[in-house]
Amino acid sequence: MIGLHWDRLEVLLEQADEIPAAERAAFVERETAGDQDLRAELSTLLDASPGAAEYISRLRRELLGSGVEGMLHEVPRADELPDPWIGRMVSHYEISERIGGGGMGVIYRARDIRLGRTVALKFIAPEIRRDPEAQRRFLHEARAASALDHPNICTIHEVAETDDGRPYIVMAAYDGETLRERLRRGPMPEREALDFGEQIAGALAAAHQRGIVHRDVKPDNVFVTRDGVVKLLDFGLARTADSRMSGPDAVEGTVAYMSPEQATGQRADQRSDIWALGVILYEMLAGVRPFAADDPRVVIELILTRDPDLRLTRPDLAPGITDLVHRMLAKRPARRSAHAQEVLEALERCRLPAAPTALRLGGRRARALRAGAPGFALVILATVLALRTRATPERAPGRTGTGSVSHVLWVDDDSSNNATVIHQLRSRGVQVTTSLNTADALRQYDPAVHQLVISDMGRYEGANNEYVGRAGFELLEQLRARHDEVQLVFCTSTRAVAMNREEALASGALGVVDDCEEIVRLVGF
Amino acid sequence: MISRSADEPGDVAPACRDSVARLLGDLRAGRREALDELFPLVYQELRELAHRQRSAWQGNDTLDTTALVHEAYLKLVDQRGATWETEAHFLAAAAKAIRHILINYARDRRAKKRGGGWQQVSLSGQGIDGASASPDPAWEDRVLALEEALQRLAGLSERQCRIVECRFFGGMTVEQTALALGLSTATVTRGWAMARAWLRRALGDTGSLARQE
Repeated sequence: MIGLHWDRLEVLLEQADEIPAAERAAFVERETAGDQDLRAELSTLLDASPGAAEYISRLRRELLGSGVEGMLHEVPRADELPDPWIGRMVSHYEISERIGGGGMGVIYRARDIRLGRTVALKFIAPEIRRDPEAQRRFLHEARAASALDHPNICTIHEVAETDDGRPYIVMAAYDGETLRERLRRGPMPEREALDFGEQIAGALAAAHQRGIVHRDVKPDNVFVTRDGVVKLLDFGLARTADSRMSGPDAVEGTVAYMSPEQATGQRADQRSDIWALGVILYEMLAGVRPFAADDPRVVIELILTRDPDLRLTRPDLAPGITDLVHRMLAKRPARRSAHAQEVLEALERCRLPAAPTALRLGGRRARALRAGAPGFALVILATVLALRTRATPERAPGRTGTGSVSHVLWVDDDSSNNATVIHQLRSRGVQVTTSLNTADALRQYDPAVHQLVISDMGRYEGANNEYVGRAGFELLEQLRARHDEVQLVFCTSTRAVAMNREEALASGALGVVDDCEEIVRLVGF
Repeated sequence: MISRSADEPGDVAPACRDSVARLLGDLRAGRREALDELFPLVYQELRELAHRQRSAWQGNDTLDTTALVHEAYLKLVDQRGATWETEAHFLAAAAKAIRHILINYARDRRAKKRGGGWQQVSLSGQGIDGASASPDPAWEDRVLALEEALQRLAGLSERQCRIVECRFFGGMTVEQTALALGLSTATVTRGWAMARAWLRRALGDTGSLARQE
């Protein structure tokens, strides 16, 4: 009975109120003739009506009148309110927790029940939703970005809409933190900063090559996984949302990385992304932003006028690095490095020259080496290997490798990483014994047989298959305790190389490389 | 219109005031959805107000949500451009916030009581279950019963539920409610009268149900 009769009930109730009590019964009888439900409803409401005003105001006094102070003190903060999305199904995604949020939208962790994998769901901010044109562009660009297949660009699985028309992006879920969070934790070693810069430049180069400009490169949009792999997020959001975002953090974040052309409302192109990367590099290296002020208007003023000098805060940096950052921060786009690829290559050139017994051979560097000049570090390692193996009293028989190493013990929990390399080594006559974990490697290692141990850094170990980040170090330490002469090279991720290099060399490792293929050259020289 | 108090609005982040202004503009333009976006901002401000000024309110029984809401209004809304309509929209968002605050608090208290660990003491050293906080030991049950009834009412008449929200939780006048909800004052008066009777019946206030005229 409800929907239709509700308005009528309101009117009848009001009319009845103006009728003398004695005549009400007849009024109800007449007005609700033939509708028993309506009559019952009206009668009981009429019964409740006198005194209802008094009842409600008393209730209000009792429930709201006092004790508000204590009450407000106890209630959760606005951002702690139970989130209505948690536990909900959106299409075939079951939302489990909120993992991020702010200016551009809210991100949830969710389970894809069809594929049985964990994903991240991002709902776009209301600022974008309220403008249909912006929303259309956002979807278009997000879909374009989803076509980008690059290790440093966050994988987008799907761009879709909820039943009630809210767009969302389904992305790969990574373990780690944003670069913003990383920066908050404190200063960053130069090596790590350059490594991140290289990875971001790589992502931008891939996007620019396909005509996609990010337009909002900033530390909040740079995710760093636990393995040190950078994932650039949020392609396509910037153009649609400009700087109008909610919340102080969001505003602060956007303005600080904005290029002069964006700050003056001109069209952003790929050079704007390069500017933003320049700001990030500056911030990672100097520990402070090049254009910083409390008031966003002052920040913009600084962006347009100030020429930051990285040498003032970091006089120790190689001129190549400071020059590169300054070039990326040229006010006029035309004077800026035009291509992310150029920046990438410049960053590669900027890498610190290797210390005498150190190796730092990245994949790209390795390719360059194969293409041309022999690597300085490479030669050194080969020499060291030759010297040390010569000093080894006994050689394993039957070595046919052209280098000094004929038998390698390779420790890695995931042999698929290096199957090709192992094959290549074997085809060159080098024997390779593989081992999956520290305990097994300790059993297998024989100083009379293996001239070299190659080990990954972190791996899953033990009965519980737990990740041990320092497994490589532990292996080296235990080998060393038993066989003083053991020679070990760490072959690990770029990030782990950057983080562990000094310690690895101090602990007596022969080298640290981040490219398995390089091993072929080292060993089969 | 709420008059500007002698106190300065205080240090509310400009971005927050900008957001409030923008959302109020959206509301004026008829985008009702903006109310849901305005609500958390007001909620947060109410909470912070209570936090900052708790000492000043100690032992003051006359403090009520209306005073608190007005305080928040002065802080969050630039009075120079404010209109009656702006104020009404703001108050409607605040009413929603108060409703949420109340429910959250009541749920929390009930959970703690049921958990058996009801030893909560407020920062002022008073038991928050003391007389000043709640005259009725079943306060939280009554709040939650009201909420349950309101949700049922919303299923029957969204409009009446909104009217109750404004009048009951926001302490808004009939005129303010009409402005905020885009209704005539007659509709608000009529809806409010029926909602009161309906709620009284729903909450089972049978004590005085017998006609006593």
